Amino acid sequence: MTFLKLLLRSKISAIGFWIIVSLVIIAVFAPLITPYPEQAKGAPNLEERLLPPSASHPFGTDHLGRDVLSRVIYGTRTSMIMGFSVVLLAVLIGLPLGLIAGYFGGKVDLVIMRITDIFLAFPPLLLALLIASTIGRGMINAILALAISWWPWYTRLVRGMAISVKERPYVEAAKSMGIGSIKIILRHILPNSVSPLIVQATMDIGSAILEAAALSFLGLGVQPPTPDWGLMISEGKDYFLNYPWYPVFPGLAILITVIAFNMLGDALRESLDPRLRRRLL
Amino acid sequence: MSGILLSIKDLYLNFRTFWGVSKVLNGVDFDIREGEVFGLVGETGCGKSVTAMSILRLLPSSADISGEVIFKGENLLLKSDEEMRKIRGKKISMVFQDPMTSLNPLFRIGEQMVDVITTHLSIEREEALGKARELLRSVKLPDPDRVLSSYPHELSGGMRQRIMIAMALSSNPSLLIADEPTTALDVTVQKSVLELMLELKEKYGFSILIITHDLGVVAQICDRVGVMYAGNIVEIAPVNLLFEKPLHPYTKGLLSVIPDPRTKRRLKPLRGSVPSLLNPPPGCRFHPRCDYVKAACSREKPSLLEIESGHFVACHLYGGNENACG
Repeated sequence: MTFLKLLLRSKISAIGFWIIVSLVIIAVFAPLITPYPEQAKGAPNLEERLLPPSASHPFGTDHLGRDVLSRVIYGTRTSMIMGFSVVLLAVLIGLPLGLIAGYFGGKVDLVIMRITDIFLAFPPLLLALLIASTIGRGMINAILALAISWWPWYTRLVRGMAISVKERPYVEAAKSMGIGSIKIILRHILPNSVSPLIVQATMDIGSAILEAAALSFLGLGVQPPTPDWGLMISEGKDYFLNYPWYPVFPGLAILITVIAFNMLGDALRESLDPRLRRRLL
Repeated sequence: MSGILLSIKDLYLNFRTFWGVSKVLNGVDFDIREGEVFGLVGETGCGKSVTAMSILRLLPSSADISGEVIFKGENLLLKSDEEMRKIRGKKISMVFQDPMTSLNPLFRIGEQMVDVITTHLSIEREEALGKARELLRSVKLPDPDRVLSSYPHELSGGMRQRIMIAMALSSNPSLLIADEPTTALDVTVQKSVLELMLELKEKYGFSILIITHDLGVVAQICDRVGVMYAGNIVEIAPVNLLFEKPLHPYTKGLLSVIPDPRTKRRLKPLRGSVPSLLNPPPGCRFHPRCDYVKAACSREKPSLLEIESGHFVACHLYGGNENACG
């Protein structure tokens, strides 16, 4: 409870935190709050094509007459699922590799780091495009493609932390007491090097949502008629000049989400840093 | 006289560094007897701590080591990593310099003690907690239950060092290595921690290797002392003999810089400074700073000779080494 209080101390972090909480609630309860659930899932409604915002359609309708608000609400689900799973998967690959490379050093480190170098040699979105176009389109493939281009950053981050933590006296003391490597990694290295990863991963959920939207925009991510912000922008771009509500509202949704995750990440950094925390308490 | 517990023979240690090979230990020899307190004194960088780390084989991979570390008749340098891990903390334990950072800040004392205890004894958590409580009592920490549920930052330096000692003693080791255990503590706390170590030694019968640069600590708790200079043991003597009758010019120099409030004698510092171990002086490594330097000193490394009973010195001014000067 004290941690939450600490986190919500400043206005900016509180705003970020509550936006994300509301986005999660929107995503979970999408079927209950959506005005037109059938249209959100893709059912066309050709009589009401490209209507401007009004009382019955607050965000207007798209080129197939579907309610943009409903589709933006359902798109929250897609975006949240993709953002969280990409980062989670990347952490699951990157974290153990980083711990092993950093703690053991030597040849293990050399091999793991050269592999990450290969992945980091490509711009992440380009690599994700390459993978997505190789393994095929679709939401799960897009998640895989993004996670594969993402994990090396976490390996690097965690390795750097592990290298600095393993020189700390309590690790030396643990070794001198005969505690085994695996226990040292789990007990001493992991807990003491994970905070920057938590911060980075939180901020990255926003970026992952953005990249997922980019993949969808380019036609390699989520496929129609699934409601997705990137896809909506992609479809709506042709109507932008005459019917701006169509691409602008999903665009705003992406913008707000990414900013909210960044604000939360910043707040987490402040509250996880023991030096800053001591000053605040 | 009791038996020999640990015997270090002709220990050489080199570190491969970016600037070249650093010759950190240059043939270190000494024994630790059962039940004694052996002190290793010397300036910063003379190789005291590295000697201790060599005993536990906790050296970085850039270290090349040769010689023998015989513990209870077995050469530790020939043990596998797994065998070595079972010796650490069980038969040889270590207490470090800075108690403020020797405990993981994220876990309660109880959890950390249970971790150490269950590493060497196959007992349940509850039983290990009981053992931890008992250990904390034996290092005279009041209210063990409160200590067990505290985080390290809630305790003072002296308390944390007592906890480190308790953890080090959790499986009745035969040798306790203490690397400057009181350097980070106040003088009064320092005294009580040293007294505690002596008392526990009497109670459990282990030997202590204490590493320090503080001759006051040496006088207070050691039975015998080895003086190190630039990777060599230059003199070994029972503690009284060392203070009364130092033989090596370096030891004399060290003793002459202890201030004595009863006299108005000016302190006479040693001239020069510690040599670079990348390119140490040939022969006796102390010769460029020595007032009694002879021709042989820069040619030949003096060997450690027993000048009188229990008093060893490595210097061309004494014993058989005199003939070596030619």
